[in-house]
Amino acid sequence: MTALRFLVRRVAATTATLLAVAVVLFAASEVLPGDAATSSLGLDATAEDVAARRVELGLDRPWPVRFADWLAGAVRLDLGTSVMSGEPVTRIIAEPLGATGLLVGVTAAVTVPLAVLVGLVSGLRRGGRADRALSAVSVVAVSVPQFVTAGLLVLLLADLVPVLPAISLPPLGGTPLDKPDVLVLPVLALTLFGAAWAGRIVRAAVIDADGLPHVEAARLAGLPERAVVWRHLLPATVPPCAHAFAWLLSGLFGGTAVVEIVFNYPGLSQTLVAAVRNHDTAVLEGVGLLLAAIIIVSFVLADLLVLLADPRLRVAAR
Amino acid sequence: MIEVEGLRVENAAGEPVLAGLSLAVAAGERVGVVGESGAGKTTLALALVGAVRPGLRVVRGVVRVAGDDVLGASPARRRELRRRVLSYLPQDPPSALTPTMRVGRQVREFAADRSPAAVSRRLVEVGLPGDAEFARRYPHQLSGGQQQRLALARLTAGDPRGLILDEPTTGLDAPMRRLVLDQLADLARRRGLAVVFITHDLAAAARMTDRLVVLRGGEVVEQGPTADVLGRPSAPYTAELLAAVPDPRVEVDRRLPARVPGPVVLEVANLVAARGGRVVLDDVSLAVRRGESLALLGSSGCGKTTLAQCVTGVLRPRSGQVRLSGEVLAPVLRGRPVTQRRRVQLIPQDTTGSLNPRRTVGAAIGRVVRLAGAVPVDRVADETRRLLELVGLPGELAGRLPRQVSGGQRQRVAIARALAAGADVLICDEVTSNLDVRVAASVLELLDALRRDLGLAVLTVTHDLGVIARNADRVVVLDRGKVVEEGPVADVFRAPAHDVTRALVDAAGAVVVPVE
Repeated sequence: MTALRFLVRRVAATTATLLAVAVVLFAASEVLPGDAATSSLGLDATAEDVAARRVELGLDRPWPVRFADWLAGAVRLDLGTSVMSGEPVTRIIAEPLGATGLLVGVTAAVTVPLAVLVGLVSGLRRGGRADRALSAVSVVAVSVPQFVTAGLLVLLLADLVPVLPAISLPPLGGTPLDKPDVLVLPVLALTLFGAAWAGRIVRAAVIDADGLPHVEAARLAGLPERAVVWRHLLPATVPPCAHAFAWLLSGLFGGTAVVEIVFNYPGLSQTLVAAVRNHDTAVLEGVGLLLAAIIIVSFVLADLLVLLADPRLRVAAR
Repeated sequence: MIEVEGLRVENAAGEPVLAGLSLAVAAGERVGVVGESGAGKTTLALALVGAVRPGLRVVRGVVRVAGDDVLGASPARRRELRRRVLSYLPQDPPSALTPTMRVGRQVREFAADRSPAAVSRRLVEVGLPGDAEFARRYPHQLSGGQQQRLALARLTAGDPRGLILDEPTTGLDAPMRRLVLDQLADLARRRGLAVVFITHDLAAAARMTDRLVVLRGGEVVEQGPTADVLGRPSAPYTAELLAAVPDPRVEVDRRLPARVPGPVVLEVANLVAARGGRVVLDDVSLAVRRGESLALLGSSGCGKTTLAQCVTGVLRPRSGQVRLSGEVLAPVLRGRPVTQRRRVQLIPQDTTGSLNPRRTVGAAIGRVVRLAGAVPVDRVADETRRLLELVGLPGELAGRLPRQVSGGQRQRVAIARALAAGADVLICDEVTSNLDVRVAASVLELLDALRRDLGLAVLTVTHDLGVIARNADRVVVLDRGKVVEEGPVADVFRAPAHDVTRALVDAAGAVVVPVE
């Protein structure tokens, strides 16, 4: 009941946030020098050509009209047409979105359990040998730039010991799933960072939870350690960790540029980089809006997870 | 069943927490361990289940439970002992309940028979409803007393032969405390459980135990049958402890006669306040005169704290007024001028939380002295020192951090800080509930002396009749947000007119020496 009410309120808030993001995106592409007309025509175009092109693209209309037009389209999931290729933005985004979604999905499936495991092992035996070793590895994994990690992985697993492809291009017309081994290196590169970073967060949460009176009471009552950890300790770590994971994973959608470029993986970040380079405003706005939506939705999901994990909050959320 | 031989536990500095302690408890015997904080009570309780707090270590000694050496047992055997032989009910049981588990599951994880019917029987046994709806609740949906009983049901579901009860009634008001203790005693009797009852509450120990062990500084000062120890204490320390327990009915006779009351300083008129849409104060009026101490009595949830919050301006009342020397105070603190804020000061229950842990005691008081502006800046240090001495603390204490002084000293610092502001109305919110009896008695004495010397008006909020008997001239009894009785303390305690008052007075903590 309360969870439902919470959800309704959050969806309303989400819509408002997305609207704000849309305004910012639109304003940003207005302010930037040049527009779709100049960039699609190239350097040789005369002022008359540009003007004619602007009329053709509807860019001569006042900005509130164009914004309303764009927004109305976006609501119907029509993000306009790319001036560079003439294709609808939704179609341009669809394929990279799928590829990135797959990449992030697989990364999440590996990162989350690994981070929880790392956090539990080092949090429960803090100061122990495993904790110190894991902490050292984590610091290195988080602080080495991703292009170095990615480069080293290629050198190691594709060059010196050629077991995996160095370039993660899926077969023409197919998806990365048709050739799953292309995913291994990018996922590995992303996981190294993600599991190390999130592992630190989980470790801190585990240490906090370990000091709670109810965890101590469960131990003093003679419950087996496994039951203490699973039933009493882990639920208390969900609230602090849920948002860290939401942040990490939703951030990956727009933040895998380095890995995608190193491995030549056809994902969303590559599309975004290309759109910025070509001044393809329609694609830029579309991808921007999509990323914002993904991030916001992830956080709502994390909130729901926390609500699910802690019955007390279901009362407080009213 | 339990044998402790020469147990010595030291802290990191090598100082003994338990100094060669020996103790034996037979099967089915109920033994009380009493002493003040720092006596090593909880360290002893934990050692009985083979646990040692971080920073402490067992230097020598053996603890045998049912013939097994608990401290040297394998983890698996130790867990077995904790569940099936001697179980530990922790301090503040409600916070020991995992908030994410439903009632049924909480009990089930300890029960050998995991069927709903068996779980329901376990719940009924400790006096909880056994229906399916109740089993689906979460701990936060239970009352304090129910949480207490649930914690107990968890442990007894494992069918242990003995229970260690570590201050099981902290945070409960007197009638509830009595109910919980009676239930514990009843359960122990029916099951023939051995009980180690750890407490600083001598009255509770008198009701609950056959034998009493008095602990001080990790050593046994005195032990013997409860009736002997309490009736004819042989150690002076035990006698001292006994004398510090206030018996409300005796105490009121011992008091100095009230002085001629001065003019009304604080007046609450027709106050109505709500929390979360529920009315918790319903048309409450009271007045405190200069030099007078008025107590606000009631069980938990009766609206005492809400009233204190309305007076201090933390909570905005729905209607009604708070007047200070005839001036109407703004409903919220922000609307009150500094001169009014200074005059009304709160002394909180939890002084640890209300003192900045990184600021020395002297700095905490000095800051208020400076803000009050009554003395020139170059004399702030002298004034701080004077205030510390006024509350009976040495001036050198000014350089210490809050954690470097004892609980009783912290409470005195809180009083000094309130006086630094130039208060003439003190609101004392359960100021002694976290303190040991002897320390509490001295703090109450101090408050009384200050009130007489400085002509303060004191509003004491408490559920402890001992506090009222010692410190108050008049008492106002609150029940469910309404004033049900009001009058001079002696009259109200001798002849309570209302049922609620009678229940509170009957349950109050006089030490009744059991007769064999």
